[in-house]
Amino acid sequence: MVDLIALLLLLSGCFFIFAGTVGMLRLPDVFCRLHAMTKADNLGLLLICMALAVMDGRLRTTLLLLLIWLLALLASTVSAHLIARHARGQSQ
Amino acid sequence: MTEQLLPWAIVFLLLNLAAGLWRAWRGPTAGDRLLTTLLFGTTSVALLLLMAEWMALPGIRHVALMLVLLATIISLAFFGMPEAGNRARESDDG
Amino acid sequence: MNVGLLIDLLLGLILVGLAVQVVLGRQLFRSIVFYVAFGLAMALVWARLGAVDLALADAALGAGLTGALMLAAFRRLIKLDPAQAVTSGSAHTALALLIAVLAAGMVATIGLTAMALESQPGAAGVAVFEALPATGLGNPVTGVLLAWRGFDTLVEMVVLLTAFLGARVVADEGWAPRSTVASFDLPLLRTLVAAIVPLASLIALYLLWIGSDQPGGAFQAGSVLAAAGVLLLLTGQLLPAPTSSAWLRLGLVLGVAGIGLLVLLPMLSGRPPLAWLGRGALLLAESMMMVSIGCTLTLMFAGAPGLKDGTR
Repeated sequence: MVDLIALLLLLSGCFFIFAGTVGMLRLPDVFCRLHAMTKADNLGLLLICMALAVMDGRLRTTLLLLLIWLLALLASTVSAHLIARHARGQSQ
Repeated sequence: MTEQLLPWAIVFLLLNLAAGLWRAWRGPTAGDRLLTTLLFGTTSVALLLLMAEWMALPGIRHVALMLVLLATIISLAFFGMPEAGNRARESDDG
Repeated sequence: MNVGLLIDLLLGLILVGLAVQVVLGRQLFRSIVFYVAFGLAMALVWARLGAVDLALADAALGAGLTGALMLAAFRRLIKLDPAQAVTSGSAHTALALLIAVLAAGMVATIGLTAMALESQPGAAGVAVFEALPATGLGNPVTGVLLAWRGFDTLVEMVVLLTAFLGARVVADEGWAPRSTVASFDLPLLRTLVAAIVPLASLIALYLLWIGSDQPGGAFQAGSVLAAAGVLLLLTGQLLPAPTSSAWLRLGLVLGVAGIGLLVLLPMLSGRPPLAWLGRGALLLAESMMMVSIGCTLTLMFAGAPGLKDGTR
């Protein structure tokens, strides 16, 4: 049962990262690509972290993975904001 | 059963990385290329975490922690960089 | 088809593709971005090979620090000479590729031969694992770096200090790199610095502590501190200053002093140099090295002899 949950989480995580990559390659504008990248990739990372936490089972690992995901969220947010501001500055 | 799927997830994410490099190559703006470093960063973290579980080396999780801690440095170093030909952002400070 | 082999092939292809793009690419900025990606891919390769200590150091230094350094250098370069942003096709491409192929062939030959050799009973690697329990350490890398090859580590710290002094000698005194983000009062950045810098310090101390038994140690911790310092510099919380304070100078030489004491102190009690002093002495020397590495790399990124507070 636990294995099934982990499997579902892992597969959906990979799907969302794939969706982010497709968005980055196919969307027309740098701003649209930022949307695809940050949102889809972070969700995919969260699902993968959850899958790994379920597979490992220990509290320590789960907390470490949670910390990693939160920091990834912070990094993506600030980076996307900086890139977007720069891009907007250039297009004016 | 999921353990056997882990290396295939790693393969899949590596293919995503390789595909994302196309955007770095193509551009057309510098922001697009920075996007690729963002993609590389997040996907690398996922890859490292998967490897930590698959190879049973918990130390690799610390590598992922460090990577994600320092991921903003590249975007910060890039910010304010004038695109060749445009006015420099530095003229904004008072 | 073995999945591990497929992963290794993909990683190798990505690495080589990135390297080719970095060296032969026409646009400088694109090559820099590929170089950052190359650093990240290297960290992945080290992790795949199981060399976690290397992956830790490479993630901080190769991916973060050198990328930021290159971008800062690029920014100055195109301000001085905008034509440099696009390089014409190198006339030596064919020669470069030939040398690359030959070098790769040589490395492959040496590597395959080394892997095919059986490990001899008297070999250094085997001896390390046999002597490790006597020291009470759990991490063989720390054992080699500090317990048995401490002289090499002493020389490395001296090299780091010398590199810093050399950078000071050749530095252009008329120009100091400015943080471009400092003029933008983005509330996001204050949150970022407030969250990351204390966490980075904590993680550095954590890596230092676990380095005795798990992958980690002084170099990894020092590189995390250096990256935090670079973050402070980039966001304008720290600014380059023309003179250095006594504390900074102390921090620069602390590493050499620490490992030097570790190496030479046993001689006071009549034992040969580098005799085992215990985990406590090791940790003390490592913390001194960590401070030194952090200070040196941060100052080298700042391009100035000192730092001052930028929040005022």
